Amino acid sequence: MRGLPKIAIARLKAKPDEGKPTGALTGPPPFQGEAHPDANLLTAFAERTLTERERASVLKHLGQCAECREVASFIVPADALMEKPAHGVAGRRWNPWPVLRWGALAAVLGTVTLVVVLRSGRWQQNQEISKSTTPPNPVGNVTMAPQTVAPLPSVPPPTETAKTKTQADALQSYSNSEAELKKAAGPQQDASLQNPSGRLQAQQHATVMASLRPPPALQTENGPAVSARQEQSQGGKALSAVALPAPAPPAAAPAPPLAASDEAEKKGTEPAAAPQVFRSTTQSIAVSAEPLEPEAAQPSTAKTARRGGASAAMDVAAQTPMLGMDASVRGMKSKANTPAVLWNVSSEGKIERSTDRGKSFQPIAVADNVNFQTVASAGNDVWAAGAGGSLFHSVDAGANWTRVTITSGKTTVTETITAILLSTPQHVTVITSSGSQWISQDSGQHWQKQP
Amino acid sequence: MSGSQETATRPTQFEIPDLLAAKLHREAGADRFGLTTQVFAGILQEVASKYLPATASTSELTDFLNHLRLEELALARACALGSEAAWDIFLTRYREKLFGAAHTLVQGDANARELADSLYADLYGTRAADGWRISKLNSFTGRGSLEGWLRAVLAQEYVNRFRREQRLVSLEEQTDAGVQFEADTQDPSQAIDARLREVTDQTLGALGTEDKFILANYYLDDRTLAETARLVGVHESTISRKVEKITASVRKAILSGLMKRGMSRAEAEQTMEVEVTELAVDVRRRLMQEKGRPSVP
Repeated sequence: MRGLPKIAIARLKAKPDEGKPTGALTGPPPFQGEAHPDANLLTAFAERTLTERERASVLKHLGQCAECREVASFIVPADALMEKPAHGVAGRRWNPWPVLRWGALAAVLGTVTLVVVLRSGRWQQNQEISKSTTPPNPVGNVTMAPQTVAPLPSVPPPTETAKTKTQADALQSYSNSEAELKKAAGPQQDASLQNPSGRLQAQQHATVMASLRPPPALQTENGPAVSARQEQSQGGKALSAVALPAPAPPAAAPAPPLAASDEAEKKGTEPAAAPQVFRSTTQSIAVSAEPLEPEAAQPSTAKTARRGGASAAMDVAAQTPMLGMDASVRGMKSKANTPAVLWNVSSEGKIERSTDRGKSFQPIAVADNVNFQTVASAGNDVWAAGAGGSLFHSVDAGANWTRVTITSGKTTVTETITAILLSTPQHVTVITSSGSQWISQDSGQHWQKQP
Repeated sequence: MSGSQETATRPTQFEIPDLLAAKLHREAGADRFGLTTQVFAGILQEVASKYLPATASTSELTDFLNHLRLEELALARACALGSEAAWDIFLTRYREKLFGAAHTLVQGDANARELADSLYADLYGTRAADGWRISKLNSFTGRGSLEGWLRAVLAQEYVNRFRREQRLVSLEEQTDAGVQFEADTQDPSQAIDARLREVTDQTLGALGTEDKFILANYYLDDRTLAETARLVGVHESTISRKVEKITASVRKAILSGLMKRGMSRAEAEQTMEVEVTELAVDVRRRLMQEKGRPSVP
């Protein structure tokens, strides 16, 4: 710090004539502002018990009188601690401004930090969502988006290039359907998807659904290997699964529990960077949050399940904007109020249904001599598929079934259908064992093979 | 009691309600020192008349009286009135403190004892006016602590004694010591720019009283920041910032004033840093100057 200019010190030392103290300091003359303040006032000043007016007068004198400054400085012992004024009247009033100033600064900094942290988190969420989704595609014009293909190289490659291609196609299909779901859901679901609490609820929903899963007692002997790619997705789509024409899983390969995969998801496992392949040995379930009554059938939750890919294959798929997320939330809040209808493919390749939240399953007669692989439902719309390109559709919660032939031009699907994706009751995507995808936008009336 | 008549002769402007007087008398414990409620009420009236304006309201009077050091006021006034019980208490409380304070002012036990004893004489009231002893304790008003007041009176006594001793020093001795005719350290060739003096006076005149007091303590009296802080009643770090802030503002104002009066910045800065010891040679002040102004520790 540069000191006071010497000229200022010199002028400060120069006493105005009228204020110049003269004579001895003996005697306590009444304080009139021009004479020395008496010992009482100097004491009160040093002890900070003067009124503001008196203090100002004493200060004015002290600024000019070195002797009184000496006396005043002697009144308070050097080793005396700073203490509060003995009397409230005369003490210096507490000035709250410094405290307020620093308090306001701290508040502003805290607010800015909070905003930055929240914005950063929101931005990262958006980044994750943008990585795992593609823009909505026009209906019937499903294209391969490079964004969804790009993460695939980080997926542990299967043994064959064709498998990789198949997996990429399957993921692409799912991403496309997911994007369309988002489009159908509109901003309401977008908001809920971006809401962390909604994401958490969706994850919890998936966990609850897993708890409804029947015990993994059924072992698939010759079922197709299913590679389930755990994805951190939006809303209720906690997991997605694709079927791969992989070799049959070794019997010793344990199936990771769904809860574990959920935990991994909660820990922020990067879906594209560390996908997990599930060698499924457990049952597949298709869950419907809607009541069983046909009149109450609403397109709500589309979930797909595959035989032999139960835990990982449980695809908590997209939901309709009106009922989708709400249904899952209702399911979280009160399971008793929302009777879930569960669909399952037994180890014998038969379709089963549970109306008591998975406590028991009853076989449903769909078609004889068909080894079913997967089942998916959206309200009362139920789709079941299996070997030989068999695909069956029920619009009345499984009471009646209609066989659907997937054909486009001269091509007819005869391969085993390993997965069904329902984004809406009308929008159906099936994936065959060779990895090809077929999409119908009109509840199976017309099909189009994806390139 | 010798001083009671003196107290009674003082003009009083305020009537203290009986209830308030009784309450304050009780709080002061004035009974212990032999002061009646009426006598103590008279003391309070005297004190109030000294500090309060005539237009002060009853509430202001009550507030003022409630903030006095009542017990110490009663003790001091009882001592002034010659109460033996009060003197016993006074000596028990303040004798050692007074001696210790004197010891910090002067070197040696003997000198300290002498300074303290001279004050005791004034406190007891050796001077007779119209046959009555006039005790210095009669001037204690209870605005601050009695101990602080005693220290202030002791410091004033020390300054007065120093002045008296200075006057007894002969002119010859002071001349030999180079005091009376101390060489003017100002370079006569160095003319002080009138604009600089004007701007400086304006700047210092615009300072607040507390700011001036702080600058005087720090730059003129060479007190430490801790000492200055204790006087102002703030923390040392606060006074450090204050000194820095005031100094910077003074420099800035002077610089700005000089530039407004036609100087360039470089010229203003150069002018501001001119070496100055005294701006004006006041022969009278020079002759009367007191080399080695008493410094109270």
